[in-house]
Parts: sequence; structure tokens; C-alpha cells
Amino acid sequence: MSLLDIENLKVYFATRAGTVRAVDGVELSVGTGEVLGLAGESGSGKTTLGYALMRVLPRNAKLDGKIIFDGRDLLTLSANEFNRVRGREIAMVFQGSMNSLNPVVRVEEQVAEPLILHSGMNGDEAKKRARELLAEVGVSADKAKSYPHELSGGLKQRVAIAMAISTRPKLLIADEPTTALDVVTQAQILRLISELRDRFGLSVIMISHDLSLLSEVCDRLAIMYAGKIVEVGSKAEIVKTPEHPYTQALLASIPSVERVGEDSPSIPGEPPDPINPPSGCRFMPRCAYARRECEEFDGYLYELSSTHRAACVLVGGKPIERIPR
Amino acid sequence: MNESLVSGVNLTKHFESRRSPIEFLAGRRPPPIRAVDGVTIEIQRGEILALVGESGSGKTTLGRLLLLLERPTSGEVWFDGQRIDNVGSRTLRAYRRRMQMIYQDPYGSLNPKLRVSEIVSEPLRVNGVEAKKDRVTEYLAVSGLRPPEKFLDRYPHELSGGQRQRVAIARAMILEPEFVVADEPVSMLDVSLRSEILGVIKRFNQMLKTSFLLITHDLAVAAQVSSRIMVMYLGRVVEEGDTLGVLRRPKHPYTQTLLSVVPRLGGSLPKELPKGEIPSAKNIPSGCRFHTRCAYALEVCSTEEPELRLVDGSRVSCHFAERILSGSTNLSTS
Repeated sequence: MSLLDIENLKVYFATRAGTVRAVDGVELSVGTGEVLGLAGESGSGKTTLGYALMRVLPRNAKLDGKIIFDGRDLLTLSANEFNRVRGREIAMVFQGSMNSLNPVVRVEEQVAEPLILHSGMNGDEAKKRARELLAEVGVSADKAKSYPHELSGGLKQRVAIAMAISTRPKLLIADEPTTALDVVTQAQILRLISELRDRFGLSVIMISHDLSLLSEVCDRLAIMYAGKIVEVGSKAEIVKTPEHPYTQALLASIPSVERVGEDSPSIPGEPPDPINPPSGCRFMPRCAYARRECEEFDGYLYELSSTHRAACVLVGGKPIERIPR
Repeated sequence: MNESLVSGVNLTKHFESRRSPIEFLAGRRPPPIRAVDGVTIEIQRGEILALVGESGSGKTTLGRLLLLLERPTSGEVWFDGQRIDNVGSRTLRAYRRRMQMIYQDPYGSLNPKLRVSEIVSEPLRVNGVEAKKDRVTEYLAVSGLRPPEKFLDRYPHELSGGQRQRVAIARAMILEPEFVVADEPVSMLDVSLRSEILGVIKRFNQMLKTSFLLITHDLAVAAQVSSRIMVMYLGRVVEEGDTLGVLRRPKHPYTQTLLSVVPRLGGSLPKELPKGEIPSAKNIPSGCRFHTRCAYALEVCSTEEPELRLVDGSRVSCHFAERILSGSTNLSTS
């Protein structure tokens, strides 16, 4: 059963240069206890989508569509009503949140803060609970009394995760949770997030530009390009039988330790201007298979299996040939 | 070809750490931070050597020592047959233009008030080098900014991260340096762009026969362009060998760890992860520096520091490299 259903979600920003269509008709769902990976290049709209779910968007943003979470449409809730969802039922570990910890407050007190705010605990209860939460994410009792500057990047990220899960949210959005971390620490944090899912039945949306990283921890993968989901499927479907040419190109571009001395083919060109995206398929200008029909394509996600969908005219029925890897 | 261009002999760099109030009152000095602690390195003409390790392993400090951006605490730096760590800064200046650095952060390393053409031509101007007018456009083109004319008048803020890094590479290469330290040149870029930017480095390496020290924590990056890999841990070299040998037959447990955590498409997280994080360079473990996190560690590892020795074509500093390589997991029964 899905916990979250996003229907035709649009996030537009009014700017002096024109309307930026950061998220432009996204369809996506997340099941209970599922880890969904959201992959795409910088500027594809992944983070904006996360912000939209948290309703933390700047004033010039215009939201449209539906976000059905746990049976209700979040976009119809008033600001006050949504305050009871944000941070309590849906929490987000923002990109770089490990660097936005308050430098003059001990970390256990920072973790206690949302508990006082959302769960109505008093200071002592909250602190005790904060220490338990920190222990859950692997921050030992002696480190709980530290100030952020005394902790390594990995530990700070654990603190940020403890804060996010302190209210036992149903959905955790983790935006590039390992980007500034070392490879070993990265693996440890990914392990932690999967353990939290197993232990608490947490649903997770993990946002990253690194598809190989996502493929190690996610059950399903969604590929985003220029504000749209272009392909979604199980981990195996996306990695082994990608159908959208963009997914194929993205997969092929990843450097691999298996390919010693070989360049990975890059994706030609640049992502489109979000103010004036090309009509029809937005990947068309960079696509090796582009044809006339692509100009008219409306971005429909064709069904390839009960879990696998791809938005490409060539998919509508028969599978297309893969780029040799 | 087999002639070393740059070498560091027994290099150490110790930084003083700040005294705490207690240490001040007690009249004690804090232990130094031993960032690089006895490293010997040789970079051949025209090769790309990848220097791999976690942050805190001393990679960047070693790179800066070789460029004499830091003076070593002890040890020697040689460049093109001359010892250069003991010469004055005036003499050093003649060497400076023959060596360059490419930084990690293309958002921080470009002057936001200069146009691309000014950024890339500045090294020529500063060094009084007469170059053909079209060298800037040529180097931009080699860096993959096409058509280069389109980029000449742009400012950094008008460029994407990948385009900025191409500008930074063109700037570093315009003086045709013989040696370049590229410090995590792709780690801030999207994964899908990394291979292409590494390709630019490779292109300059072939075009100008420039030697590169490629600092990275990502073995997949090293795999694509390097001919040799050197792995560092807490200021020391733990393994060094040709790229294929290190990646296909890693001998040191630390190298194996680094390899196991490289994300693989459709793979899964490794079952065994090393315990904790890299210790502080202020307080380095006794014996083998990796023993506190090593899955194979025995008693001898905490008392005797292993030396670098030749094992199966690589240089490795592990007491049990042969046995680990042969796949035996129970090391105590010899």
C-alpha cells in the first residue's frame, strides 16, 4: 500500500527572467517501509520536489497538483494544519544539514528541541529521549554532550538523522545524505538508513545524483530529468533493463572500478533551460534515438510491468534497443 | 619515459596544534598533527599517479608538499633532477610555473569578477609569457568548452559546475606545466559528468606529456585514468602498485576496505564495514596504524609497524599481505 502518492505535481517559480518550471508534472508513489531512490543530474528538480513535500518553498513558488499522504491531500491543508505534518510525519535531512547544526548548543540539546516542540515533552524527558535517539543512530553517550565542531562529518550527519527521526516520522526524505562524506563513512550512513527502515518500517525517499549509490540501498528507483520523472521501476528493472534513453545514458556515464583505463560515455549536451524547456520530450535534443514523434510527446509514463514505467515514445509497446555498455 | 620528474624522499609534515587552556597552564605542548609521516613518492614523466585515501589520510598535504606550497618538516623534494625544498622562494618561482594545481571546488577557485578569457589568460600575463592569441580558445576547446568563443566573455556565475571545472583545468594547463596536482577534481561534480572531466585531464596528459598527481577518495576515479595507485592511511603509504594490480588484487586490508565500499550499480552494501572512523593524526595508533579498524588484526599488528615491501608486484605495508592475498582468513595459525 502506498503511503505517498504524488499526482501531476508542479512547482513553478516566478522570476524576473520568466517562469522556472522546476518540477513539471511529477507522478510518483512511495510504499510503506520502502526506500525509493530519486536520481537525476543537478538542476533536474529532485531537491525542489523534496521541498514541495515538506512545503518549505520560497514565496515565489507556485504549487499545483496533489500530494496524497496517508490518505489526505497535503496541498489542501492550511499552514497550521501542515505544521502538524511537517517534522512530525514527514521529516527531511536537508543537503548539508550536518553543517547547519547550531555551533553553540550541545548536540543532545539540539536533538531534544524537536521533541519539546512536537511531542510536548519537558526538557529533562526530551534530553533523555535525545540520548536514546543518538544511541540508535550510533552516537555514543560521551559524544552526545559534544558541540558540533568536536564531531566528524559522519557523526554530525548521524546527529542530523537523529533529529529528523526523533518524532518517528512515517516518511524520511534524505537529500544527498552522504555527499560531503568519505566513501567509508558514506557506506556507514547508508547502512544506518537501511537499518532505520528495517527497525521502524520507515519509508524513505533518498535523493542523489549517484545512481550506483542509490542502487545499493533502494528498493525502487525513479529517474528525474528536467522536472519530470522519465522512468521508474524496481532496482533490477532500472539497472538491468533500463528503457528510457536518458536512464541508459545516465547508467553508462558512471565511472566504475570494473572498467580500468576506460572512459565512460558521457551524455552529450547540457540539460535544457528550465524557463524554456523544449516542447515534447525534454530529453530529445540530447537523445540518440530522437525522431519526429518526440516533438509531440506529452511525457506519459508507459507501463512496462506492474512496477516499471518509462516516458518515451519508443517504449509505447515494444522495448527499444539499448545503448551498448 | 621511466624517469622520475617529481619525487619526495622520506617526507614528513607535522603541524602544530593549538594549545588548550589546560596545556597552556601546565606548560605542556600538544602533540603535533602528523599529517604526512615518512612518505617516499616518485612520479614519472607523463604518468598519472592516483593518490587514494580517506580525508585525514594526508593526501592533500602530500600534494602541497610536492608543489612546495608547504615546506616539509623533514625529507626532500626533487623536481627534474634538482632538490627544491631547500631553495629560497625566489629560486622556487622559476619552478612554480612548471607546476600547477587544480582544486576540488570550482565554485570557490575562480575569481567571480573575471571573465573566462581573463581567468585563463591570467597565468600567461603574470608570468610574462608570450603566447599566441588563440591559445586561450584552444585550451578552452581542449577542456571541452565548445565553441570556446561562446565562453570567453562569460563570468563564472553563468557557468555550470562542470563548465567551471573545465575553465579551472584550462587555466592550470595554459602554461604547459610539467607537473599538476589535481586535488579531488571531480568529487563535487555530478557522477554523470565525472568521466568526461577525467577525460579532459587525460587529454592534456597526452597532449602535453604532463605528469599528474590525482588525489581522490574514489577508486572508480583512479580506475579510469591512472596508471599507478598509491594508497595512504594516516600519513603513511600502505599500498602502491599499478592500477590494475591494486584494483584486481588489493593486498592491504585498507585497500580492500576502500574497494568494498565503492558503490556498484545494482550491488549491495558490504556486509563488513570497518569500525569507526579514521583516528586523529594527533594520536596515531601504535604498530600498524590501521590495526584499530582492521578485521584481520592480531597482537603483532598493535606493536610492530609493518614496512613497505614488495608483494605480488605491489609495495604493501601489512604483516600478513601474502596470507590475506591467498584468501586465508585465520591468520593466527601460521
